[in-house]
Amino acid sequence: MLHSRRSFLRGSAALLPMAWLAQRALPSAASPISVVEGAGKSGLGFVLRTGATGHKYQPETMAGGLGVIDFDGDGWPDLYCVNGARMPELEKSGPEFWNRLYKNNRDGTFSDVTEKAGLAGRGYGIGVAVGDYNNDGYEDLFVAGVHGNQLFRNNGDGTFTDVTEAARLSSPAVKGLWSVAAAWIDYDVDGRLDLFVSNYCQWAPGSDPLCSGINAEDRRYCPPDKYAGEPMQLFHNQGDGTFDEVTGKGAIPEILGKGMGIAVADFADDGRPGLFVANDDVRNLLFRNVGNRFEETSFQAGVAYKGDGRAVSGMGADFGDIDGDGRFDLVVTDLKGEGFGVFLNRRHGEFEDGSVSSRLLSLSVPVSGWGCGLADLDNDGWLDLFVAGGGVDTDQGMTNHIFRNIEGKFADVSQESGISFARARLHRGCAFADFDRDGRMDAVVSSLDGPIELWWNRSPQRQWLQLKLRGTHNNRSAIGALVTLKTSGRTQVRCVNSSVGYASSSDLTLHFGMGAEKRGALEIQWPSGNAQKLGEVEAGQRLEIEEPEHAFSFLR
Amino acid sequence: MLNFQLQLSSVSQMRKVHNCRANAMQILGNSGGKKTIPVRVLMASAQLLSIAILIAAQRVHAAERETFEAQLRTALALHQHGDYTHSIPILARLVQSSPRNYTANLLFGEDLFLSGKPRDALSRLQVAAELRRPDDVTALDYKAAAAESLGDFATESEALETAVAGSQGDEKHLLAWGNFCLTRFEAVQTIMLATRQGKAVELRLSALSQPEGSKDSELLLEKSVTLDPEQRGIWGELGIAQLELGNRAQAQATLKEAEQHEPRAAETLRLEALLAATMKDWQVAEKRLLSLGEQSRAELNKAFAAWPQILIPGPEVDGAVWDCLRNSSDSCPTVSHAAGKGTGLSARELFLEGRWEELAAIPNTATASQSEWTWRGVALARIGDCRKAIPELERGWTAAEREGALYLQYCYAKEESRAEDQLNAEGKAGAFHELRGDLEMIVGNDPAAAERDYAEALKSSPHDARLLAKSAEACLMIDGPADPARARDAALSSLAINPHQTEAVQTLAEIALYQRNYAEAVVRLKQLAAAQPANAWSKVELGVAYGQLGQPGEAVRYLEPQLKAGYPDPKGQLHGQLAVALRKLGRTEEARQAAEEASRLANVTLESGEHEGTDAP
Repeated sequence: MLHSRRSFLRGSAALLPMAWLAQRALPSAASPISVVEGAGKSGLGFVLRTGATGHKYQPETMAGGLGVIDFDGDGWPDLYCVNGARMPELEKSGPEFWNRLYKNNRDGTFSDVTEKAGLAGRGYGIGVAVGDYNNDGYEDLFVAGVHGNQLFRNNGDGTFTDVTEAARLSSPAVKGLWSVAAAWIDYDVDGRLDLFVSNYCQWAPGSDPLCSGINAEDRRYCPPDKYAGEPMQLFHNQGDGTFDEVTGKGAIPEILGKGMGIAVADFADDGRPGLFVANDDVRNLLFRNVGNRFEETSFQAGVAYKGDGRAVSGMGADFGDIDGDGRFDLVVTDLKGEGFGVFLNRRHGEFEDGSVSSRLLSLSVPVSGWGCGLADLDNDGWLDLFVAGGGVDTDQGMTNHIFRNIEGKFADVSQESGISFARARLHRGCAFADFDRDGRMDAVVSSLDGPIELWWNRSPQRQWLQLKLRGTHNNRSAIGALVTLKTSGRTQVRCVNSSVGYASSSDLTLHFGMGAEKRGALEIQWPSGNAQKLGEVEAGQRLEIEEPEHAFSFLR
Repeated sequence: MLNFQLQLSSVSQMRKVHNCRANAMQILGNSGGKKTIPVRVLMASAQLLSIAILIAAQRVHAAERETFEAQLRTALALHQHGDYTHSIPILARLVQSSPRNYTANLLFGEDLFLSGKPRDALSRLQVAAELRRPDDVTALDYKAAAAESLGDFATESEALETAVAGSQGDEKHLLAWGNFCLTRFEAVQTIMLATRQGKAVELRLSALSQPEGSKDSELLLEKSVTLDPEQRGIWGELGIAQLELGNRAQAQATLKEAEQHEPRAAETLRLEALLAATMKDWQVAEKRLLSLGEQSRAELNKAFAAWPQILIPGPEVDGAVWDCLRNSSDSCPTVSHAAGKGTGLSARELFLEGRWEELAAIPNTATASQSEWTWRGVALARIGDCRKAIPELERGWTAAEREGALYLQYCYAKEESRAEDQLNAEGKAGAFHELRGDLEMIVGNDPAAAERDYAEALKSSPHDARLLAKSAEACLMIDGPADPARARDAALSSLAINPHQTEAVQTLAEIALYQRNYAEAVVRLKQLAAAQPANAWSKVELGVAYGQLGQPGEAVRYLEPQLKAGYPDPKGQLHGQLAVALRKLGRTEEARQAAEEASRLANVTLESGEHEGTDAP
């Protein structure tokens, strides 16, 4: 019965050359994604504490950012877990509220090194962004929180220093805001990572309206329309350890929102990464980088609202090439009944609704999703969708979901994969990394007042390639670099960035699934515009690629 | 009635005859003058001529009467064919010639309404309603519908309530009345819940629905007074609730607040009386009750009805009040000679003094202010006449008028209950369950319970398209758009019985929209828009659907007029869609303006939000 203009445009078989169809390695319809939960055995004992007391203070339902960080530079992804605080004081009154850093022991286990690292944090943390802001080769941490953020500089010796004040990121204006997520991005291509922060709602303890009932057992968390929005923020990295807020000063317009997850990619095909901000129940924001500044273009791009033109309770977001056309598409999670947003990038940052054609609409209507990520979980060359499931309130726990991408169309494989057999919880943030370096992307998921989940990927082995880029002219983390991998008949694109889903950061190492292909041609476009062709590389390896001194430039 | 009309036209015809005669005389008198005709002959000729003219006039009169009836029949035939374009001009002429013709006014009003002109229809239907037979409620039904589409809830309530009486409480009209009460209750509640003071009202209303002496009642009143301590009577109510729970000390403290805020309020006087009685100060207690009675007999009766047995003194205590309470007499001399001393006070003064009966006795005029409507409405509600209170309160109500809102909702709840009770008592199980279902859907937010009641109602009327449509709506709310099978089946069943059942069409449209099946959505929405020309939602959604179907011209055609007419777009999303469609049509500047408006509206939403501290940390 479905009849839509997009059905004419999206019939992939009709568009692709027959030769290509014959030659490419098609994934078997039966190839499974298989995951196994193993946080407990691995030593990841983190429990996200919301500080909930029954008063239903709004931040209690919003915590849960996770950050993958290789803090010691050994090439193995470690994990930073952001925690809440005592309510309503917003204080980390004891170790149960500490943020936690877990060092990857390289044997499937982790060790808690929080105290030594000095990363317990303070205040009510929500999200985390990982990036080497000072280009010293060590990944740093920015923690977004309620009425106070923190910047931790990695000292390179296993310890961190809170440099928030020194970096001028703790002004009174900043302190009054409720930050949910952040993303590192070098918007002016000066080789230094700048910081974008998404802020949520005006809130103070005791200011929550009375929603649903006056008795404690009847109270619910209030919907976002009970609160006023807050402005998004952009901070320019001055290069001397400090940041200058440039919101409303030409670099980015001052725009209110109820900012949740941030996604970063070169969605406009112009070599400049931009930002998408999922907003909660108001229009989303799309900041297109037009060269040293951002313009807000969500209306023109067609991503301000979901496919039926309505605002949704946008939580998590991620860019990725869903339909295999080499452009960065967008997925946005929201609440049960709304259906996830899928925006297919048609060209130069103009999107159209792909929720029906990708089949994700009907699959996702029964699901409330927070954190999410487009990752190739079965290494077939197509980006699958992992979703941290959970409603808003304490009685709305859900399991996580995995939607397998079969040539641009999703199928719910949650049951077959094993992920739906875990307990229903209020899952929030999720982040992705190959924690055991077996060539398969694993996932970690937080849940409110629940233990962290580590989902080891045990899908059948297939070919893969991982790349860790290191900038020299550009920011050290290579955030913003665009990588293209061409195998026989397929082209895959990735954009280096850490921001993923909801309030979280994934490993900066890029991962490509290659199916049965054993080699592929790599091309890197560095943020400065320098291009680097690496020619054919073998599958099944992890490459560290440093930006060369001299690379040919794409003229833009 | 028709004969009366004809008599009038006969008089005018006679007037014409007289003039003809005079003219004839004149003509005859000016015939040239050369021949002289004898006067007798002239007189005879004139008489003959008069008779001829009279006969001719009567023929004209009969012809005209025939013409009126014929035209009415023509108009009725056109009406029955739905050809309002042609029926309306005929009816306009008929009504002009016979302004007090019931049928013409009724048909005219109907056709104006059905062709999307409710405002014009209302005046005609008002006339028809005045001219109707007492048991003929057709005009009232249409009047209610016209008023509803204009948002004139006062007129709508009057029409519906009168129709209930006129139809002698037939189930269709009781259902309509009950449903109206529920819908308005919910609408007022939604508006009230958006503000702090409004929430206070809702909490107080919830307290009213609790059993007397319940802890919940006290808790709710405490919350209400915290949110808005300036509500009339709230302190007294709270004190009474506290006393009912045995918390005398608290009640005493609350009384101080009550005396400070509103010493003359009925609730304060009652609380004083009760507290005095607990202290066995019977004189003071009686005095307070008599003061209460001076203000309002109804308030005193309420106080008596709720007076605790344990606080009735033995026969050793004299007093008319105590005699009355001891004997549970109906003829208690409770109203002192001082009653009625409010005469001469203004409506406002009567309201402030709580002299409800006196205030209710003052009729409002068309030029009454909103406050005057509210005062009288409150008075009527407090003396127990909710039927009369409702239209008055509707006329006076604004979002800021919290006392009016309290009693408006109270009366709606009461009237709905009365309708339910009447249906139940008369054994009209189907209608009873249908109204219960409506209660659960509209106010109770319990679609599962509603569906059960609708299922019960369907047992009595399994082929009731309207019931099936309601059941479909409940199923959609229960199962959600992801699993609309039951809702769709019920809606299709409804349409199979009545292809014009608009609620079923709406449900199918909603399902199609949820599923992004815009082709089907367009079909259903067009059906809805044709059946309900004033249904702005259907037109807006048509614009959305066409936009998604890649037909920007159609999208603009539907969206633009509705948005220009003020269709609410609080988040700017509709303006955003309009901007996209305009841009696709190459109307760049208009697209830019629409996008700007979308941003502006989004920002307004983002800048608002409640910051009402209701809980201390």
